[in-house]
Amino acid sequence: MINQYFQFNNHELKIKTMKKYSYIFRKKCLLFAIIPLLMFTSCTKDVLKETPLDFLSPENAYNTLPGIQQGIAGLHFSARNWFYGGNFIGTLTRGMGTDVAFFGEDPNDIQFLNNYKTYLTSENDRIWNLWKWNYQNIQRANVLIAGINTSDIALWENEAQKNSYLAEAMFFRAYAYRILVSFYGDVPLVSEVINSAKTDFVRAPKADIYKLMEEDLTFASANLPVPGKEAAPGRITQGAAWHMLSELYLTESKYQLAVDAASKVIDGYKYALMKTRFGTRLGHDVFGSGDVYMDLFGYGNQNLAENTEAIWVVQVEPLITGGGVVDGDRMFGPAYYRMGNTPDGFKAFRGELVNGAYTGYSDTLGRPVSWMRPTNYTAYDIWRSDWNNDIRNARHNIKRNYYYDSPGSIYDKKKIDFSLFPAGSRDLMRDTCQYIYPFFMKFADPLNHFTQPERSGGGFTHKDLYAIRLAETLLLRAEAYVRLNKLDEAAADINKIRNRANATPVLPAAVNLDYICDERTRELYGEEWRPITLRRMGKLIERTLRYNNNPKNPGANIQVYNNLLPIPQSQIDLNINAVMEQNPGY
Amino acid sequence: MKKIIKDREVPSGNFLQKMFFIMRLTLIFLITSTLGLLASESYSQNTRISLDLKSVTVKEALKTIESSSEFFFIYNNELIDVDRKIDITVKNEKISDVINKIFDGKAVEITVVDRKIVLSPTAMIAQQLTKKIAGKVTDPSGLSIPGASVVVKGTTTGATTDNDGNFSLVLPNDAKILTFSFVGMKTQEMSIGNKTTFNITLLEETIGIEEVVAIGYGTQKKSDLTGSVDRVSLGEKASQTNTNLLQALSGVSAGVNVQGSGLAGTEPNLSIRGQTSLSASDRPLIVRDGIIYNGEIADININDVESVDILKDASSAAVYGSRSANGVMLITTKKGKTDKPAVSFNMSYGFQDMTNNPMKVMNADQYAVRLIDYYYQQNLYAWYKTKPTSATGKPVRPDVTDRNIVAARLRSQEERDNYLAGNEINWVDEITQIAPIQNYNLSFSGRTDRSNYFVSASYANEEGILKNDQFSRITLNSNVESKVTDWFTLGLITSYSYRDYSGLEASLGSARAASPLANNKIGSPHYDMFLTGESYMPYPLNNLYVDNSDIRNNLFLVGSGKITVPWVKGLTYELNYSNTYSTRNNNTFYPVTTPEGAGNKGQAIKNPYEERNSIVNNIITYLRTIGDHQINATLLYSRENRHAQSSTLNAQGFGNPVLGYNNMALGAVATVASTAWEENSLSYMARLNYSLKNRYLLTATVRRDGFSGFGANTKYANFPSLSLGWVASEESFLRDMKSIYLKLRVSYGKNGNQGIGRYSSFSRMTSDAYVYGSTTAIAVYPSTLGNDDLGWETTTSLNTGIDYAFFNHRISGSIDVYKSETTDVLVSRALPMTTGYANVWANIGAIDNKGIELALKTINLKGRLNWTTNFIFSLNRDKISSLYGGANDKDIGNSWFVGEPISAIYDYKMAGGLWTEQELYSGKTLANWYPGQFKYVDQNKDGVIEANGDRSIIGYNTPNYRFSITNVLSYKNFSFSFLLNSIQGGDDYYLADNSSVVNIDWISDTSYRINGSAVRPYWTPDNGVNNSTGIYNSPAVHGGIYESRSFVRLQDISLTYNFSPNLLKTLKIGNCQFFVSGKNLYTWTKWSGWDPETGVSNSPLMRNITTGFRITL
Repeated sequence: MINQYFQFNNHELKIKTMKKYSYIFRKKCLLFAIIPLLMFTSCTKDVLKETPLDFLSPENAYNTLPGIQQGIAGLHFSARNWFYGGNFIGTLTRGMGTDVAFFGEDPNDIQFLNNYKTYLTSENDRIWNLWKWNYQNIQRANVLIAGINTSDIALWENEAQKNSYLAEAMFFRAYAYRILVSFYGDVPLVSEVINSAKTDFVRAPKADIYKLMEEDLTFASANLPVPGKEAAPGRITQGAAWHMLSELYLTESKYQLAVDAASKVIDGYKYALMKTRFGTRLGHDVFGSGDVYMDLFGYGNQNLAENTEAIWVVQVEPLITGGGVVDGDRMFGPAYYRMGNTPDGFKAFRGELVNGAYTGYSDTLGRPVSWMRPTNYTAYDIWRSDWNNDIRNARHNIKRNYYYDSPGSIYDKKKIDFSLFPAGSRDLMRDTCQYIYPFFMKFADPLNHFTQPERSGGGFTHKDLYAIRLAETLLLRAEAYVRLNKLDEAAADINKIRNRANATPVLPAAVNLDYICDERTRELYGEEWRPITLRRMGKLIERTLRYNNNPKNPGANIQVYNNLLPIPQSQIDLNINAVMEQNPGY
Repeated sequence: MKKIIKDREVPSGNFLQKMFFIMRLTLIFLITSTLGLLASESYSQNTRISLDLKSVTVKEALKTIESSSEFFFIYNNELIDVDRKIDITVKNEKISDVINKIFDGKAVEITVVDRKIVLSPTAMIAQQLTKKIAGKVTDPSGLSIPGASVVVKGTTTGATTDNDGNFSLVLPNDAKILTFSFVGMKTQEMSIGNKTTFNITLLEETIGIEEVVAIGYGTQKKSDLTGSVDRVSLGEKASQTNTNLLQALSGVSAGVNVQGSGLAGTEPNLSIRGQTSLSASDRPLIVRDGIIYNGEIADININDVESVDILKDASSAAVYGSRSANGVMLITTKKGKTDKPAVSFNMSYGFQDMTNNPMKVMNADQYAVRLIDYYYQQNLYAWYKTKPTSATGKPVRPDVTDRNIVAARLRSQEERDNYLAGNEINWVDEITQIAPIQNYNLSFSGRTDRSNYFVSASYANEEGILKNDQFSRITLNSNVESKVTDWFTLGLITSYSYRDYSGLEASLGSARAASPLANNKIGSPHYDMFLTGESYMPYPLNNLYVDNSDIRNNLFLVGSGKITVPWVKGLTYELNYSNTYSTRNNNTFYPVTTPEGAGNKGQAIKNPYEERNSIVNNIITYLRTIGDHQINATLLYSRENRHAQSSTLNAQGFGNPVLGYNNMALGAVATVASTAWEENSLSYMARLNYSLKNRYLLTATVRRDGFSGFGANTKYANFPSLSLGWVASEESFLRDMKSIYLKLRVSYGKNGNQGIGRYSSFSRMTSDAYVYGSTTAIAVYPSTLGNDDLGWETTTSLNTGIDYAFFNHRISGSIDVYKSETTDVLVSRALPMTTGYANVWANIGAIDNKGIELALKTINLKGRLNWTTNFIFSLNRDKISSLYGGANDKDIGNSWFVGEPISAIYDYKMAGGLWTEQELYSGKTLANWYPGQFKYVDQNKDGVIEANGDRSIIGYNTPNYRFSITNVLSYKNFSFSFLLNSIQGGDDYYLADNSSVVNIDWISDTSYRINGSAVRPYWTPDNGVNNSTGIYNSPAVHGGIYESRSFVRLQDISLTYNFSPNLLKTLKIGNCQFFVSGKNLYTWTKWSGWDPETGVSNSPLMRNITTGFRITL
């Protein structure tokens, strides 16, 4: 070892020093023998070999079965966190700025989609997030698909097992492209793992994207487990793949294929609309009444085996690692607690007693912040024909009346009626858009808040969410039938839903795309991704202009070019080796 | 569980306990580390030596004695004949006997004082002596200097000071001038006149050419340097209250840039010269007592630091190869200097507050009226959009003098009630405080014949200006060196630091946002976690209810052995081994009454971290003078290993919170995470310093480094450098002008930067958790893109410098000009999100730097009133010379442009002022622009302001130039000094976006939800404001509001009083000084809002006034 060191230096010195060392060693003491040992222990090239101690790499993460399962959970995780919980993107996907809702707290606010013209700019970071998240999930899916494809054959019991994992990953890839292609139009097609810097993306024609989605979903529908055989609640099944395929065919104007795919879901498995009461709400009706539609949204009911209506349920759980939260009442309910005083000057809502103080919040309503104020179309107009008989409009499903909670006031327990205030003392717009409006209780979880007791849950709920529910599949098939001009069949599908809701059946002659939009609103408000529905039907601009009654920006100031979102500016700026065209109008 | 202190009281008993604790520790420390040293024999006349010399001159014989012992001789060769040839053979004889033999029978008087042997002709002694004088010699900090020489100029008559620094001397008749000198101090002369008492303070040699500076793996005389190395004098900082060494370095050396930080005990930012990398670290390499130091400077007690040397240019830094591109800072700690053991104590106590650019936020009235304007301006903009041509039909602003109308607009009943009742809270005042700062330092040092020791203990306690921002530190340090035999020296440095950052500070950001109309529940246990129920307004004092303990320990050990190889003259071998062990334990419990604990029934987090670094250096040095040739060669083999691990333990759901983080098993939901890393380096270095006739100098260095963090094919790199120096004043044509010193230097070399750290070439996965039903499912997904080809970043630079001194050093200084090019620049390059990744590490591009540094020191007055001035100036320009290969590459997403500085700001250019209603009415506004919005320059003149086409480079974040001026004045017992420090912009340099401070938020959501700044009032149609937008402001696009951060700061100021020696002598005290000092007392700037140096940060810089004393026994 000594030699190795001194060779590096110089020959002459080496000889001298060697002599010196041996002399010292003999003459002086043992110390010098120890020093070189200290110096050169493990003096090999291996010293510089770098081995990660605490992280996995794409090369080693997905080459075991548990690793691949973790990859699948990664896709579920990001889909839930990005698109279903805890951020403003949910308002965009659930239909703010369309025919169904506007921003209630401040209809002129520029943080939310109140005004297409000023909101939809290429630098808007919400637009960027929607883009970014989907491409991140595409890369995650691609890495996982590559990992499964190159995995050791010995990992697998059989080809079918391997394919079921591939199918779930491909399902999520298609799911990401479904969002991208609807919101942005032509987008770059990434179907292989990206391993190094790439800055020459070009937008692929929509048809290419659809082709990949078709392949992915077709593979998924053939290889995923059949419903009921999935490994755990929330995992993707053939039913979900067929549903997505049906929606894709509808988008592609392949209507018969859309009917066929939807029929696979409706008739091919044990799915059925729930028609009788079930689950946790039985005996716990908050407003003194209840029905099966309310039970569909009871805490814990979405995963139940007896719930035959659920096709894909996004998983949430309170107080557990990975449990997550959803915005729930925060996003959809009115900020009643901000309304101020009773007409005789007492605080309108005393709230719950927590830690010796009154909170100002009701544990029934939670702490909503009035992001999604349903348009008058959603809140009133679509219900008028069946106001008293449609269970979806029952008082336990849409809360329309609010009552003071103000001991001391003569108005305590009385219904809130703004006409009782002195003339001119209230702002009508805030009273009806922010403080009090019809609250779709399917998003709330009354008397069931697990965290933040002093704020009645802080707006968060822990209910599992339907990403796909059979009612939507029926409405997809009805839409395809309308396109095929088979109105009898369309009406029959719609009436399955209306019958369950105790609403008057629709006559085939009355069925058209707009009627389907209305029925979707009644059945699926806040569940469906409304902009995707409207773009598919070509009705985004038309219906937004007609029904969006934003008091400050009627029709949300939507322009024809707003049918698509702008491509994020940073994507254009960073894509330095190719031109990424902006959508027209931006 | 720690109690929450609501009313801060000074816990005096607590403090005393702490001091006792420190003293106990110190005592134990002192005893253990100095035992064994004290036993060694005093270096005295009893020392025995052996000689065997034939036919040598007396001079040579004396030299031989000097080189084989610690004695040295003082004589005047005009009075003592040393060229006489002698033979001498002695074996193990007393030194006095040996000298007597050499001067056998000659009229030479021999006086031995410790190591000094003064030879004088006996005749001199016989001269008539008439006058007796006495006095004392001290250093600037007041420590007495034993062994200093006091000589009558032009004679050999003299004396050396005793252990207390005192001397007495009988003067010859004709004596006129006394010369005072001591190694490492500036020689001083003083005329004798009628005085009989001489109390002299010797100043440390700071620019002296004989000074020895650290150059990495060795030292060198400053006169022999060929690179750009600067020694920072800390003597002048002795009266300043700095808890961090870096604070003392701000503005003291050209090209050394320190940016302060506003929280108690935090580490300032340090950089040397310009930025050489786009994304890799620009932190200089820190070397502590010869060991690469990866820890924090905050662990070092500034009182333990002897000197700081800065290696700025490629050549001098090249000894540290792959880590040296950002410059190197060498910290050398103190050693024992005096034979008499010296005990020194100093303390300071003072207060700090915010620098003089306080933040103003809206008061209750402004806050309430802003909502009137917010909604009024909504209507106004709706009307503007109808393209009116006159003011007809313009909405009328509600009557803001009607408090009921204003109250009705407020967002909560609580605010309405408080507004109408006239209640108001100034939250910035509520969360800030005038904070105490204190330092105590005790040291014990000394030197015996064969050993020297320095032991110290210190305690510092500092509170920040934000409530509950606390820092305390205890350091213990021992530095022992012992010459075991003539050829073997052992050294041990043991340093321990305990830092306590416990407690989370109140949030200034939240205070700026908080409603002045919220219910005042300050201090109440039933406070509102979110003021007025608004989640955008967390209670600014929430953190005071969080139980946090943040303790950091650092143990730094260096053991070294040095062998002087006896039979090869000038050859030494040194082995040193160091081990640094540091831990951090950060434990936090968030009760359910705080935002972090509310959503999960209380949350406890423990975050233990430990790191161990070890370094082995093998150094061979060969030092030889042969005739006119001086050779100093160094060879190094070094190996470094770093390893760290940390865990995060998290528990939530505390039914019973009483045990907090101490029993996390009481939490219902527990999660854990852990990390670990390791890195290794191998280095070889060879250096040759060669000097011919003390005037032609050469340094050549080559270092080969290997680092585990790079890809397999790029692990090793070589870093050569060469530098030349020419001491022109040694040439015959300048030699006669003794008052001039002139040296020219030029250096060229390569340096590396590995500052992206370990594992950067790997693609990484991240793990998270999902849930199926009620079963947790671990989720793993790719999160970071790797790069197999990742390698070194190399900086090649050329430095030319001049060191000069004129008029007997009355004017001195240096000028350096440099130019460097960095290639294979390590970049965290932003990627289009289509890749699925935000960025990737890559070696792309190249960066040029060039700059100039000036240092000028003048001694303006000398005598009773002493006045010296130090001026330094530095200017640096950087430029991206290549990016992705194209000649005109630009990367707008990263704001990088070939041919432009790294810090280019690419944004919309303000055209000046706001659009006005008149412009709207007359149709002059651009499309979609309205009154109350900024005018931007329409760069492509298409009538639309948009991202593509209207953004341009409008300025730079980096400074234009920096300068500082230090003045030191001393008169009698007083000494006064002040330092003005400045960073200047100009020509669009040193700009920063200050919009978050001076303007209402662009996001209307936050502008109506939270309180805003009142630095600039917002525009309304009638108030004539032309530099801040309206409050309802939804511009089609917007840029930043850039202001120059130029400032001049009165950074350090101090007044010191030295007690008179006579008084001290009566009290039997060696030295005593009192001082008053201030830091950052005043800042001149046009920057609005916070301090310009800390910019928009919510931890603005602090200023302080402290007083203290130093005493030495």
